[in-house]
Amino acid sequence: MSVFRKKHRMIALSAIAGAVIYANVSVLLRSVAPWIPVNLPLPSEIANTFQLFGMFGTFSSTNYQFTLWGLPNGAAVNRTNWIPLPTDKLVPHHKGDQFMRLRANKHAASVDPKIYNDAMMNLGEKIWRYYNRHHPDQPISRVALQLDSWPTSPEGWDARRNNPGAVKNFQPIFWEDLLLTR
Amino acid sequence: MSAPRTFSKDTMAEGGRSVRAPSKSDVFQKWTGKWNEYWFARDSGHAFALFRILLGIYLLGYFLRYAGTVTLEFSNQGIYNPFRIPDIALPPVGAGFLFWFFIALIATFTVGFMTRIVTPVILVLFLYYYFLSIGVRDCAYDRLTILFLGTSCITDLDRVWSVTALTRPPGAQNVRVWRWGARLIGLQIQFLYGGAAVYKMVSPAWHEAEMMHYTFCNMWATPPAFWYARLPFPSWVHLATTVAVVVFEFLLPFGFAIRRFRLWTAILATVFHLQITGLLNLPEFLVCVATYPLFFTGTEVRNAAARILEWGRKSPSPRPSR
Repeated sequence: MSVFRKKHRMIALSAIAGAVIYANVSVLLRSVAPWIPVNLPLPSEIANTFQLFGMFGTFSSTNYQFTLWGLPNGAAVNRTNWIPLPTDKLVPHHKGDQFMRLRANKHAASVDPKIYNDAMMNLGEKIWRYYNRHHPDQPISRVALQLDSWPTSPEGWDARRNNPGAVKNFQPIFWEDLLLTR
Repeated sequence: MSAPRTFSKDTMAEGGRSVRAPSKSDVFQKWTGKWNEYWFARDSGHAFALFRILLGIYLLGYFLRYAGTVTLEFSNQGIYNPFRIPDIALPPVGAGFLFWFFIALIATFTVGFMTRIVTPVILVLFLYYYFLSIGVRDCAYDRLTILFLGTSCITDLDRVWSVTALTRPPGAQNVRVWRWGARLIGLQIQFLYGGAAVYKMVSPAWHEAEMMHYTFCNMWATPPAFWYARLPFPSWVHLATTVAVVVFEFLLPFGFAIRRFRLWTAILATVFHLQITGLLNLPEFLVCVATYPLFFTGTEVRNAAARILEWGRKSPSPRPSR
């Protein structure tokens, strides 16, 4: 009985090992050697799990950083009325980590645009609720995400932030009336 | 008078001895034998024990940094983005309780107590935190950790150097365990480094000197990285550094596979990851270092630990002050 169980366990573990090797080879072939005419099919979610090596695949001479903005209750929807929210307190992570969270990197990688859209709406709603809970004296009715970009410099991350050429791409991601109709 | 020799399709005469040509069944058996020898060779549990301790320390460090922001990160009053699961975050008190229960489980895993039960629970809770909040970053190190924890669930991690070992009869520590888990995690790490190297080889960006320069000025860069980027190196130095990184990553899987290079490969790869931590603010990739003991046999790990302990005992104690 014990030998029987051991044999079956070995077969099961061998199958797992074979599956892991297959998944790695499949991802490698499709990612780095698409010219090799071998297609090892793999569901995209599993492929994503084994897609482990794409870090720093490119470089940029531009810095990107998200900042969060809120529109005070009762203020007219006018760009000048928006106030900066404490982005580093609301998303307390270092710049790379913070950028990927605010970009909803995992959702952005999805082929279904609805997943990404829902993720951004969810993010805006959570920021709106959290901020108003902690700032009852200065509530906001809308949340916006602004992508700041400016030329990279070895002098430091913020060295050329206010130089000519810096861009601020402002985008409202959530507003209260949308919440009320959900 | 000797009997006449007969020759058939699958026999041949060699020095008066007939040798049967290997059949398909023989070849299959030979390869399954090699496969089983590779995956199911038995070993003492010391390599797994060191892996368990290092992975536990890594997980403690990874999650304890959230200790002050549990409500914000993991409660239903926080800011997070679930992926492919319903929003099942707990209220702040429940989230805090679950978080500290999780930390206690990781500590239990680290000291090696009931890992057969504790490891699957850690995996389930890691997946909960991953899909609820931390997975939004879509980072490779989190997916690696999931693979390592998954493999650990079916691996004997607390045979030695553990609280469980203290509760077992003395002979139980000598039971040898299958190398399967070590082989699988080792292969995954080799695919990681080899894949990263090939990915960089075919990536046009990694053919440019600017790659290294701008990497040390990007959103991951730390103050030491910016300091390095300011050094007045000619562009060929940056290009050489870029090429060196690719070649180093390409050689790592071979270094781990070849026994005589294994120790130095582990040391250099650890330095490589410490450098990534120091320059690119990515301590999370230190999870790879936790797996390096698995490239060694349990006996090698045990002997190395014994040598370190012996060296510690022999080193002169400080002279007592008057």
